Amino acid sequence: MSWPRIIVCLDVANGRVVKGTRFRDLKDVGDLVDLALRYADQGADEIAFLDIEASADAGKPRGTRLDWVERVARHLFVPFSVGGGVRSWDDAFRLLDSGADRISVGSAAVSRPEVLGEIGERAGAQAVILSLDVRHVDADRCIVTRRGGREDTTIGALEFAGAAARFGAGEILLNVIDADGTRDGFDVDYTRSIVDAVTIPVIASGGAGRPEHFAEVITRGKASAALGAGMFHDGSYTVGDVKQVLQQRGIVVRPC
Amino acid sequence: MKSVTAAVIDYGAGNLGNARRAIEELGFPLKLVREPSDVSADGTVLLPGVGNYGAAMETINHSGVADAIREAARSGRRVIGICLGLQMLFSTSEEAPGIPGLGILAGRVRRLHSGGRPLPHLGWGPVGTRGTPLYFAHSFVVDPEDRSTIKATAEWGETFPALVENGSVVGFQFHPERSGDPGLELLRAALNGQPLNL
Repeated sequence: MSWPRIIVCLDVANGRVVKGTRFRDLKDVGDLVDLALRYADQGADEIAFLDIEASADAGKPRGTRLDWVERVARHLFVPFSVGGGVRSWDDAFRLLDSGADRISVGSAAVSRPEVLGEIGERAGAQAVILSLDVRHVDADRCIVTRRGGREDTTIGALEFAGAAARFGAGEILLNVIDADGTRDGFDVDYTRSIVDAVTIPVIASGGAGRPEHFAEVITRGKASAALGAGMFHDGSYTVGDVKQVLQQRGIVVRPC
Repeated sequence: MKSVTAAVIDYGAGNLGNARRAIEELGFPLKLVREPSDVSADGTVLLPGVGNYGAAMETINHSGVADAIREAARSGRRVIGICLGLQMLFSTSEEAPGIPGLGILAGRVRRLHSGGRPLPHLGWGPVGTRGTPLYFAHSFVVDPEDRSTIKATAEWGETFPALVENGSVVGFQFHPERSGDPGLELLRAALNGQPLNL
């Protein structure tokens, strides 16, 4: 029996960790190895790095710079994923070779889902995360977006998620844009809809503000993992605080 | 600590990244293996854990590295497999029907029967009698013919082998290089040829 995972997301630009609400008003919050180690010490089960520079300019592909990935791999001994600007097996290879355990693919997979299989065939499905940014069009329905929500598509999120494993994804990182940055809690109902539509694990993302939010999305939303960012970065809560609340509610997690 | 050189097998799939850096951090000299001659006359051979069974086996069969690993195991040298590397020690895998594995351990590799739980199996779970938390990332499990080689198990819908040991050959289904201090201690013990306590 594996325990539900608490994942901390770190946005990276210029090899530094930055934070912002919906990618605006970025503010430098420190060295990424120090921060990753701090969260690992707090009990984070996994760290998700998103290179927002690599993905920001869709017209100017530049690939993710890798020296920081190497630095993280050398010092961090919990699993970590890297995403942002991954468009091909070559991009994924460079990240894996630099020491990333897993690769998350976002916009490129929306345009060309075959890229998920191209990575999975070589690295194994467990190494491939589909990073899915979705937006509500009505209470029950979401569409897939590109570029972190800045560009809508007409693709239904449920249909796309359902096909993800067939394309080669080993996990879905589901970010509901409407909840992202609000700290009012995850979109538990929609997370549950996606979980019920797929057989691969789902990471809930977007809206984490309090430890209780994690409990809800893991129990009612059936998420395999849940991801938080701002509430940890600004010191409101530690990962340990989250795990303590989960345990009080009878959810068994990895001991910190 | 005696000096041990770990020869880490490169499948050409970006698989070296995470294991290589952990081994270096533990202070062991390390050599990457792409040719049979890279598997030198002594030292430990390590098969790391990221990739696809068929693609990885074809790469090392074609280069002749597979034979060099078999020879190392036959001569009693320490051989360590991590995740996919453990699976490659066996004879066949459902992940790649028709492609022979190393056959160093008798048995097969099959899909994990997760009983409706999500697959791949991703995350930390308790292993062995003390419930040591270790990190898993896999869809397949090993099925050794000699059940006495299973030294510890874990559970995800079914109970499956997490630690397999037969003489000098040892394999982890979890990723010791990404399992915090308990994982690093296991990896260090395996590299030093010490007993593995789980």
